[in-house]
Amino acid sequence: MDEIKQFLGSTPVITREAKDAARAQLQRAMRDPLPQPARRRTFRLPRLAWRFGIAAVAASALLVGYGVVRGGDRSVAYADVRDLGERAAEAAERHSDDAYTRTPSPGQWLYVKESIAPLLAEPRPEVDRDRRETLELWYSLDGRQVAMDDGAGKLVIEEVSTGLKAADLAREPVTPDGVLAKVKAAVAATPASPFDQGRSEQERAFQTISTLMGGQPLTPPVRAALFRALPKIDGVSVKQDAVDAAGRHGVAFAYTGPRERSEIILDAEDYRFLGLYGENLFDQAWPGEGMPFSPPPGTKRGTVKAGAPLVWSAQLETKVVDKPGNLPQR
Amino acid sequence: MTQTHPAETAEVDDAELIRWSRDDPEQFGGLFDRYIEQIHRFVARRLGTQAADDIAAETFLTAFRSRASYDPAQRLAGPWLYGIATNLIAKHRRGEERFLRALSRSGTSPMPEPPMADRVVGRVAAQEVDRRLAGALASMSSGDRDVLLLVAWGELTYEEVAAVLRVPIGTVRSRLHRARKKARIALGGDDPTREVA
Repeated sequence: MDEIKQFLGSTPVITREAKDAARAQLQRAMRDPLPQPARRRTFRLPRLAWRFGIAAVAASALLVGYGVVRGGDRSVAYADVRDLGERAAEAAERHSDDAYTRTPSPGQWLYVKESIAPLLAEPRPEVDRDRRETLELWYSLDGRQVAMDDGAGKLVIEEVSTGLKAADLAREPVTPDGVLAKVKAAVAATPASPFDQGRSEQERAFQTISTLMGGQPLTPPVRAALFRALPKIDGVSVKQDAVDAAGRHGVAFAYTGPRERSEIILDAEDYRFLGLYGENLFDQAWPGEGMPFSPPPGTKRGTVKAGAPLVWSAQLETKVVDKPGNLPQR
Repeated sequence: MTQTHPAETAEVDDAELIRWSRDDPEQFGGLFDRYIEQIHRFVARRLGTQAADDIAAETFLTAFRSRASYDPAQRLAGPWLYGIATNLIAKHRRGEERFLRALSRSGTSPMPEPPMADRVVGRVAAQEVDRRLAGALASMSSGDRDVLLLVAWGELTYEEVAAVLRVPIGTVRSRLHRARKKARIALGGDDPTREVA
């Protein structure tokens, strides 16, 4: 008898629901062929920026989630992405954590401590699943700047393009359709970055919301509206078990684009923002058409493999502070 | 899936279906129907059913996106799909090892799917052999475990494993040797992967 062959042999077969969901995902890919590659843009990104990985740098609005919502729904099975959106929105609405209700002053900054999978081999885009670096960042609440240590103890401030910030979303009336319209208007008004080449409006809207979720103090109504808005974006699905870079399991809103799949990972109990994950969907030549920058001369060409992770992060701590470089009071 | 090609797909090999799907994407649905259950089962045995739901779907999506690079000389697409699934499983290997260690201890599973995990843990508790195997699998390197399970569960040949993992066949042999040795030690001498005539 072959014990290995029998080991866990009574594992149940795929359910009809899971099979139907997988088939639907495949059919959607069949209907939406890959876009023609955009013309290659050639310029170099600051070396520092590459510490974030592609998805984080691609964000046009650098806004991060804030605080913790306590209590709520403990079950983890979601019928579909609308179910996730609704349950997350209800949790956001019934929270009582005052971290969400204090209004920061416009000149303040959001301190964010996160753990990220660093780039595997700069300047290639893949990140290393097996290593972690801790980053401390300060985002200006006007959405225009991000500050970070340059690796040598010096704080540097980078300008970032901004299309949207928390205060814009909090203007009444706050509704799912209303916040989605603001997100799409911001996407339309913001020139596509090199990282956005080949991305649809839907994908850019998802990316913008992912950075909003993770990047700026959001009021409960805004969080709830964004949770209900995400299922309205074509191509967004639920991932029942997602894992952030700190190994925390949660649930994710996932968007499958033509080249990569992105996840907004949330705690499955209180729906606070945990982190981001993104991976390459199929083998792609590197550097290739449509990729956002040209490597230094002499860089070895290769392939970015299907399934390669492109961003993986875990948000560990957030706090509004008065200026960049300030740490939260312990 | 809508079958628009005039031929009976049941009589067509996988390579031909994939070739058709280049012009007629819907043909890829035939491959999905042929393999979804076995790919899902393979992933579920390694990571549990909930993770398998996502990874099996991703496997076919990835395969569809990269179908242009499929080697038409390979008439059966099973090894190709197992290879994609194995690459996708790789990012969950810490979870897999936690799962296996929990099984080996007959303790509670860290996997977020109590019905499956409890059932399996309960069964494993009753079977010392399985508990030992779980421990052995958990202690292997992910590369060794990939090779062993592709051979044992996916029924791939050494050549197919080498092709889908993109490693030399000698590496497949040495990994399998190490994996079998660990399993054998865990079971007190019997080689659990040896085929019995």
